[in-house]
Amino acid sequence: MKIELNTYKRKVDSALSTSKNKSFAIATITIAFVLLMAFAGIIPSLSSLGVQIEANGKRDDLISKLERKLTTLKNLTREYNQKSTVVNYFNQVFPGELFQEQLITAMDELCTKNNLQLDNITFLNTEFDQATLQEITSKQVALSRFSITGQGSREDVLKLLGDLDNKRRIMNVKNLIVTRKTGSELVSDPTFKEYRFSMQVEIYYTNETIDNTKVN
Amino acid sequence: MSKKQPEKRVFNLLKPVEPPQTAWDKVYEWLIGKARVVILVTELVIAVAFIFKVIEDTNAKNKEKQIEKLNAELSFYGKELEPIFRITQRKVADYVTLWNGATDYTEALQEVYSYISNPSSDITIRIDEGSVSVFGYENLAALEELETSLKGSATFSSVQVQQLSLEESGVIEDRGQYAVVAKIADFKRTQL
Repeated sequence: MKIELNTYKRKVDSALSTSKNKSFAIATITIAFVLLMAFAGIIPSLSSLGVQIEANGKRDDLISKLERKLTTLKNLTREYNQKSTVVNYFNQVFPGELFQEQLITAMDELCTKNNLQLDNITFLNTEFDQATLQEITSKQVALSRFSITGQGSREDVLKLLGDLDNKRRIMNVKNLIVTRKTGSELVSDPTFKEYRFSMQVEIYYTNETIDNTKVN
Repeated sequence: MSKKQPEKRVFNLLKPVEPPQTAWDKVYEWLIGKARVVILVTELVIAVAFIFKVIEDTNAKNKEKQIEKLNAELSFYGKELEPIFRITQRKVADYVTLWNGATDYTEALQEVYSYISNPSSDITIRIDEGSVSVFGYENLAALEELETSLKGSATFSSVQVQQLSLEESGVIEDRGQYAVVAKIADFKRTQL
């Protein structure tokens, strides 16, 4: 063993005898040592720092998103409270239920206002139409259709139609028939109830209600 | 007795003879030379990284506290108020869609009536799916006037007399049953 070591030592000494080989050996050992220090010390500490910096960057993103959301919600709350009257009115014209009785009363009042005689109001089956409607609106919107028949003068029928077309609670006239009565005495004064009308109207509501007390 | 000669100062400029360096001598020289520089630089880098790591860790803790605080504030809004706002926004969008798709037949009906010169005319007007049909019993001149007026109006298009039938008495009086059909060009409401 000792002889082998001596032999090895002599070989190394002879290899390092020239200055060129000596410099080359020193440079190699130094570079190897630098790499060892880098892998064992510098890289782990820097990568740990890098990971924490990246994580902090993501935290910053999250904080800015949360702050933005909070600001938006606070602004919305303030605006909602400022416009509570408008919002309440909007929830009345686009309610969370059909309110059939209210609707019948409203149609009766509208006809009376326009000097028309309301003969009949019938609610119709709208199962098929719900699916068609929900292709263009959200799933929460529902519709109901009703037909009304009555009689009055031509001008009054036009006024009723105008009121329905402009009413804030959307009353979508799907079809309309206006017929001059037969068998009546023909007069040229259009103020008598000489016309019969029939129309189908679509009305909309949503399937959800809002509790505004939570906002206030 | 001879006098002592003063000692001459001698400067030995020759390099001192040293014994040849052993392998351990070489390793020792390398350690206190080049390796020391490398170790020093490594220690400096690690120390600086450590200082920055401490700063970043402190920042991370502060940011976590801030996130917790924001989440606590948002949880109130998120549970109670955000659903209300979302429902309201959805309802408004639906309302606009429904309004813009709804019909407005008032002008069309008014215009048709304005073309009926005889207010006591036996007439039925039907409006459905954007088209208007006028059925009546009238003299042919008035029918021609109605047809011309409808064709000349920008409100209506594709105006056709679909039916015209005269009975024997009608032929003499120049009156007949008619059906005029036209499409309403724009029957949607003023868009929101």
